[in-house]
Amino acid sequence: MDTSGFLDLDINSGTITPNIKKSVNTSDDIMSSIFDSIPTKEKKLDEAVESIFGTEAASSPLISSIPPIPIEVSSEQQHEAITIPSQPININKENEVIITTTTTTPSFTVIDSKPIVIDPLVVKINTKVDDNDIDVSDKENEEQTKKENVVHEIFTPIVSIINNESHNSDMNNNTVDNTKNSTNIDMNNSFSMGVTSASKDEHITSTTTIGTIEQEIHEKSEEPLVSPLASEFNKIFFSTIPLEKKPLEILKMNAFTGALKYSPLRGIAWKLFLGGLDINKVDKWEKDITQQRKRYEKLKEEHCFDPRNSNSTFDPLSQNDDSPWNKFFKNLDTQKIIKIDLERTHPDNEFFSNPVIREMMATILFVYSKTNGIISYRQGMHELLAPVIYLYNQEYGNYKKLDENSPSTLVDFIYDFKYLEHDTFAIFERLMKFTSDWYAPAPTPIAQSSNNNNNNLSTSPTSSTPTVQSVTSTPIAQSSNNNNNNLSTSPTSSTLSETTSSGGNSPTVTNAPPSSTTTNPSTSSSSVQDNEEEELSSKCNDVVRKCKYIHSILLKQKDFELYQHLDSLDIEPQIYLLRWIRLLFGREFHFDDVLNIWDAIFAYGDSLILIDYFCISMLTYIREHLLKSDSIYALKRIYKYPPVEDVYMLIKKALEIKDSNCSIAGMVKTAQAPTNLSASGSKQTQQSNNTVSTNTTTSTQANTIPFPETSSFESTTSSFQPYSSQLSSSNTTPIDPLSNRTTPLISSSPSNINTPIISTSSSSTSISTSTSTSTSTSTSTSTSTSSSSSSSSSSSSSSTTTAVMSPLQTHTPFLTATHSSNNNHSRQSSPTSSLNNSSHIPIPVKSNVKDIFANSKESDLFSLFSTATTVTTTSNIPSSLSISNPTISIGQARTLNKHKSMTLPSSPLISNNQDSEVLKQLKNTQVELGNQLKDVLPFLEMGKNFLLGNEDELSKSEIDDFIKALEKVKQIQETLSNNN
Amino acid sequence: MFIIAIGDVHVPHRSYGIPPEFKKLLVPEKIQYILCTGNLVSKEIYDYFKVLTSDVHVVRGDLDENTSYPDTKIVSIGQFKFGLCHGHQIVPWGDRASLAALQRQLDVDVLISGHTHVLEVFESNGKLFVNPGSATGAFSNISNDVIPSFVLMDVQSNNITVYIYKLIDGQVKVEKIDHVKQQ
Repeated sequence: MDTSGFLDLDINSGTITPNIKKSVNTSDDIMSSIFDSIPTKEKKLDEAVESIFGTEAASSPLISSIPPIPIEVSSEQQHEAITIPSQPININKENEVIITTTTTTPSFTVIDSKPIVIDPLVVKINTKVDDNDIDVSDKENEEQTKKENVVHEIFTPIVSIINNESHNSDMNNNTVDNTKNSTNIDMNNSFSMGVTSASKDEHITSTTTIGTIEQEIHEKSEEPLVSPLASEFNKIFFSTIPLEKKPLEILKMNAFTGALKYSPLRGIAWKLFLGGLDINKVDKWEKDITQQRKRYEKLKEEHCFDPRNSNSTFDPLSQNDDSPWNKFFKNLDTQKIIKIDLERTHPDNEFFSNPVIREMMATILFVYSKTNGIISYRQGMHELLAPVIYLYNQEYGNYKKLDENSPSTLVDFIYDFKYLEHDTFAIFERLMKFTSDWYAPAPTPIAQSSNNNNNNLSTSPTSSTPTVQSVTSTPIAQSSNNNNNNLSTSPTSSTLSETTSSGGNSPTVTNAPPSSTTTNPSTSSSSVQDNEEEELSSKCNDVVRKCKYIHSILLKQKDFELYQHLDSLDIEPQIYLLRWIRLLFGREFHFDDVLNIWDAIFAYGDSLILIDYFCISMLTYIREHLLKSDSIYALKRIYKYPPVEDVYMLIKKALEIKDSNCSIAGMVKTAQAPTNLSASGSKQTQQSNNTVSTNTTTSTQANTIPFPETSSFESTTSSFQPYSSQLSSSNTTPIDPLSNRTTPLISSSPSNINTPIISTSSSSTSISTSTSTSTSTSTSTSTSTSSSSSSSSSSSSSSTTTAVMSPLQTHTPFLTATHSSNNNHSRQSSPTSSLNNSSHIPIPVKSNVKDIFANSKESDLFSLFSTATTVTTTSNIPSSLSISNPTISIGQARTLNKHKSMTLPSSPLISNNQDSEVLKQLKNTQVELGNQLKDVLPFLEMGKNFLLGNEDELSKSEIDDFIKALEKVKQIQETLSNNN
Repeated sequence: MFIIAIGDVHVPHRSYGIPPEFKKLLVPEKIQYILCTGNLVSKEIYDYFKVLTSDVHVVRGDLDENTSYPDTKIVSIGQFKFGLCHGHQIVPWGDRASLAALQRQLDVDVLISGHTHVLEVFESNGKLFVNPGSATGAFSNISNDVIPSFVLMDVQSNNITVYIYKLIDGQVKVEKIDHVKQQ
């Protein structure tokens, strides 16, 4: 390793590589170590920044614009993360490649005909072989063992296999990696995509039943009278033979595949899913259940108090609030409402007209309403209770202890019809724990007060007309106003304000708070009070916020066309989503189907997050109807959801949507501003953009800027295709064949590789252009800058197009995305090419693409990179960082890195005799680039998955190529971020 | 279901009005029926009752100016029939046997009468007899030291709980008596 500092490939300078960190996540103790390590890393960065730019700079928006390392990693992600270091190429091929590299000379790269595809790889390995001496490989071995330890904890059985292999091929790290990761991928598939690999799951469960047959026979010989429920119960929870999977996992599998429908343990499963019982403490269930039942008994006694039956005399006419009569009267009101609602609960179902059941439901709902604090009972809760009590009644009713003489078991204890009400209450309460916030009332009085506040504020600088709007607005809009008011002042929760700000007249409100304290001291005292109220109201508006989130974030990502259509029809998401969410789709489907849907939603857990995705799934199911229709018909369609033959199709879709989104879940939340931006460029959004730039502080800006295209990109890599996939399919796009050929491109111009110096010098001019354009745009709204600047830089070589396109690009992220997904392989080309395509510029597409490639290639991209470096030398750092960061779009990032990896060993940019100050700065830039790159990786990862999913459509070599490229990017990222 | 039995108010001739302690208790929407034994004397009191509930039943007392009130009235509430009579017609005044005769004549389960200004609630022959006394504590020519009082009846199916409200030394005292309808 003779090149010091800036970009040396020493992977081990850091404590642990990010890959390992991620892969470790499942086990708790190591988890903590990650959380320890990550902040320190950030801290280090901060310190470094501080040392260079001084404390002011460190706290300035630009430096804090470094996006936080995504810590939250859900289970699927972890598994994906494990796959990161790998290239699932079969060992033979890898070996081959290595052999070729050892034999070939560096001049090999000159060849640029067909085998171009392999070229970059060869080059890569060449450098690797050159650079990595024995020392490094030793360390890699260490790392390897570390990794193995981690994996050992997670997948013990698999590792045992791997270990064998790793011992065999101890010399070759890559092969070990490959095998391990390929197995991991298998594991990954079977785990995270439970539905898609349903056959496998069923296979597993079936084996378990085979395993327990013996036991069953054994039991039968002893006590012949065992109900099927008891046997099933024992089979799962008290199996003497160790099951292949944990009981909970089996139940979850069943829930996703629909097998739970036939299981007699559905009720218990729900309870487990919702956390009513702890799966790991089966022996304590009896105690827990007794406790729950006692609690209900107590609550019932306490709240269903009737002063008539008491011995002491209470004054019925007393006006005292503590009077039992007064409480009684209040309760009476609630009970009356509940009774009215219950009469309307599934009137077609005989079960619910049974007075005994009705009474039971009334009591449960009433007792719950008393424990639910301020929200009490709201209409709709009865709809949630109905399926629960239906299920429990059926199960408890069906269970019979056949042998009266046998000793009482846990099953007998649980399925005691006497306690039907108690147990139903317990699970209902668990369910409501997740859903009760959605039942919060629309805070009309509070909205009124905040409106008053607004009126006061209208005297301050902002014009008075918008305030009038806010007064006349609908209650929903008002509530969103409240939200805004509340949230915009606190930048940490600004993501939410983004969502709500799309709700209409927000701009004035967002502008108002800062001015209120200064201009109107008289209102300041009341505004404190308002703040408290707003806090409450913001909590109350959870459901509205959720609706907006689903509509303007999720739907937008997943199905931009539909989103735009609904938006243009002025269909507020609350109109339909409120009902869907609150009733958990109870009104949309047949009763039995509702149970099935709930199976999946509960099984998924995670605060019933699957609801969001199920909503999207439902919307896309009727997508075509909606797209064709005007607002009246569309509303009609949404309200009267068409009967669905198989809800598992919808569930499956929801899971797919969710899974595809998983790895970037963190990103979605932070990158909301750009999504807000492209709400068809209406005036209001324009305004809200302004407010975003002025009000939201550093952190949001930072998060919104880096990758304007990420949101649109992820929508496609998710492999989520609407049922009526009208979008351009992969084979029809004219760019495809071309770009496929040109993608591995970097090697196509050998001159660049051999003479990196030339490229830098030539690029220096292009730097100036790109920076100037971006700076000029940056004076306008900051959010739009990010996207436009990226577009301009991505096609900076073809400068004629940029000027035209930059504004357009903000409106067509989805189109770009569709194209880029089709040729994931050629991601680099897609942003520019599809841009041309979508913006209808009369230049023939093919030639245009060619042109771009001919011109841009590396020099252009390399220029991007060198902007950062060259500008740092001129100590113009703050601005340079802000400009250069957002310019790295996905495709560029990839090629950019590739370029770096190739040129850097001999890069003239860094010499040893440069003073340490500059070196430090460079390192900082580098680290930041690394972090930026890290954010891109998940998308690339998804792209890879997508490719692997569509293997038959694409040729093997292409996929392999992409994977290798990805691998390289990862490596670069590691080096970059570890180099501090 | 809450029923108020009240009467012998004698406003404005013998009293300035219903005591504020009682007025505080008597609020709209809590009471379903008001059965008044008469001798309101003025229309203002009737209007006040009307504010509390729309179901106000009044019989004519010996001093009532409004001649449209009937002498007796029968009101059916739930499973019970309530007979209403001022009581100046029943001689001797407040005599239990005479009241029982009227109760049989009207064929009611509960007979409410007044005029004596003495609160009295008793069961006789399985029937309930209620005399709410005077709500204002107006003087009577047959008794001294009249205590302001009224009666609240809580009707639940075949069961009546009678709450007796008395104003003693500025304090409202409540007593409770249960009555079950005999089949």
